[in-house]
Amino acid sequence: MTQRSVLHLREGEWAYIQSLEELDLTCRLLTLGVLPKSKVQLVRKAPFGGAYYLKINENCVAVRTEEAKHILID
Amino acid sequence: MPDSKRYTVGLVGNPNAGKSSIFNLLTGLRQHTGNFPGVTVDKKIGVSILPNGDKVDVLDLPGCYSLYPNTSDEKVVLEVLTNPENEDYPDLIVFIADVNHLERHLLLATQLHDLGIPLIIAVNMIDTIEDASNPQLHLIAQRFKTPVIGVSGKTGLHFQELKFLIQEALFPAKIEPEQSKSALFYELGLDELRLAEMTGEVTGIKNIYQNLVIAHHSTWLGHLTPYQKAEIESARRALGFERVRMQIHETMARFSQIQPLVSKVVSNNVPKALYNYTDRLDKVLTHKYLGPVIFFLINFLIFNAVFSWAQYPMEWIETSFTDVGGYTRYLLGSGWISDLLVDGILAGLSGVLVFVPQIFILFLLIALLEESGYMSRAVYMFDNIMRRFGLNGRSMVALISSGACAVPAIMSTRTIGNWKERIITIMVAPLISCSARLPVYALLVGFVVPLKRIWGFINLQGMVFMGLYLLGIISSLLVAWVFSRYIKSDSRSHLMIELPQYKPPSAKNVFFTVKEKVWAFVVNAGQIIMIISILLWVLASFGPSDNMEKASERARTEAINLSLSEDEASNLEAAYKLESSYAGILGHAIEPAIRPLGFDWKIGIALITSFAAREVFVGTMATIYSVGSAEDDKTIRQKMAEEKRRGSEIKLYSPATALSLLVFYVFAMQCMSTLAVTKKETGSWKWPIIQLLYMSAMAYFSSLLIFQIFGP
Repeated sequence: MTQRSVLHLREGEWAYIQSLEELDLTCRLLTLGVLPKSKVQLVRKAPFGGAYYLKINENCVAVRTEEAKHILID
Repeated sequence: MPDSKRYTVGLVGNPNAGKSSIFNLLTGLRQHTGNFPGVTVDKKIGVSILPNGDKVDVLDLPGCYSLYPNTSDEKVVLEVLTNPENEDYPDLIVFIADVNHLERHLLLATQLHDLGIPLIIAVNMIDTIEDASNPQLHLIAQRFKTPVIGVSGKTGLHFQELKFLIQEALFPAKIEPEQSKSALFYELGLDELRLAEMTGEVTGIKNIYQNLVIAHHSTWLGHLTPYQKAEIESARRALGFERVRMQIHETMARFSQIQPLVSKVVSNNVPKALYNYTDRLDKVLTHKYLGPVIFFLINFLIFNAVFSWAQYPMEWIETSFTDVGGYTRYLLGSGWISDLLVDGILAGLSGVLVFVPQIFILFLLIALLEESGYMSRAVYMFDNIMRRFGLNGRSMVALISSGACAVPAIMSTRTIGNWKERIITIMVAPLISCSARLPVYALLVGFVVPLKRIWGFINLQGMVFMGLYLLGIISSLLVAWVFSRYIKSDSRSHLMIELPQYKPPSAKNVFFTVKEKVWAFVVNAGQIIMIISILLWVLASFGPSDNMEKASERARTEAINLSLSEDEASNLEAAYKLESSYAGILGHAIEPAIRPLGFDWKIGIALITSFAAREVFVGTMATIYSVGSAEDDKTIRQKMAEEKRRGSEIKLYSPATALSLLVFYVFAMQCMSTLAVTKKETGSWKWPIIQLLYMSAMAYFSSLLIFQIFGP
């Protein structure tokens, strides 16, 4: 089975973050509060695609597709 | 104590932690904005008076998430905090954290703690949780061994207490024995320890963590000498130090310390309805279809406001300057001194100040949107579209501002972290039709289409206006795309932004932001407009040898022959003099080049004089057609309509010529202030020169195309 990322979530669905791939992105994601073992919800997708509105604990962040695919979930 | 020896208190915190509110409360009106040396990052500094009457400097450092920076704003924080020799190196740090995001915000606090700079933690927005006295803040104080206080930048809660804490930290009542330091939050690994020690040998800095951070960023830190850089670099290589991996390791280690602490501190705190309220707003404001519609509606309202509200103060400024000019002439009589004062200096000053109302209103509304948290939603919604053109979601905000004036728009690009995207935004921002083009459009549009409605409700001239604006918008995106093919990127572009909770904007913060922007415009653009205005005055008032006298004479004889009134005679004289001046000669000289565009030498003069600022076009037309004042739009238009092509009966201002001229003004880089700001923001002459060349070429060739297709 391939590893699932937040891209696999449907709008409104949530899961636990397992790990973050891609070293360069990880630093920035961590400082924004995107932490392993946290609960992540895909709130909605951007109107013109390409970006995702995520909610992690009580933090809301927006990430691009290329960034979101490195946020792996259980 | 002399001013130079005053203590410096540095405010540090994540973006959106409410740092500016605290800064404004601490300093009030005793604040100003400068620049950090070498970079165009705003440096906000102010003076705070402590309860004992002592004064301290308060430095508002740019918001940042950690000591591993991503943008030029964040890098400044590192430059200051890793260099004890820096003039801004704080004696005390007041760290601002948001009580609703303690876990994430305390990450940076633990790093500051390990740097060994005296620290106070102010937990902000304490009023947003149900029971403000409830959070167990003393637990944080215990672990950090540092004072912690809950405050509210909004209500001013515990403000006096915060000032007392600052006072106690800087001016202790009794000298205490060396305070017991709490353990570092991050235990350095063996390799890190070795690297920090080796770095310490080169930098002479004692703090071990400070050295580690310097080693991480040695490639770009400005305060390191080339020798130090080389030494640290070789130490890094010798140890096989993996920078990014160690950063992640450190960050995770810190979080594992903070998480249990924070869960104890805020376990019982129920946030007030704030989140709910943000969720509900975002359901509509970032909705797939409604979101963009609302965004454009908001922008439409902003534009309406900028144009309609600003109209009255602008008229008032113009009339006042005309009155002052008239009075000056009356006082000084005629002569070149009063001409220089009135037509050079006062005209230049009025050219600067007349834009203040529009810039003020635009920035007021944008600051309100920014403060409320809406702007990051706009970035999120439009990021994907803007990226296709080599831009960034944040470019959207700059391009919108450009609709009022490119100068503040270019200044606002500082928040774009990626250098390439920032440069492209700066390069294309002046293509968006700004408010200075409006008077030119208004004067010329009547020659293209009559004032008529079709189907009873579509205003033809309005359509042309909209077409010109659209032309600006579309071309800016296309040019951005072209630039993105040729400019090399220095780093990866990313979005990854925080979407903060919505909150009502603070009047104080908005006031200071707007004041700062307006002032920056007046100073930056003002200087250049003044200089060019005086230069143009010289060009238009003097001519070679006795040209000017001859022109006056010719006008006088003609006036007598035609028995003109006194006013008409002096207007005619002004027109003849302008034709004989250096500006007139230049206008004649460039005529061969602009004839294929449908322009004659008179338009040539206006193109030259409006080089400093576009709206000067109208005034020059007024002088050329010897109309007393530029206010008299109708008369200028009439005279222009009567103008014939030289040696023929064909009207000069045919729809083709007028359209060609309009398109010229859409593209041409006729704004010295913009070029000056581009130079300042990019730090080199290369970019303003490219901007000038590509825009002029675009203007010339599109006008050529239009006139060759539609012209006679």
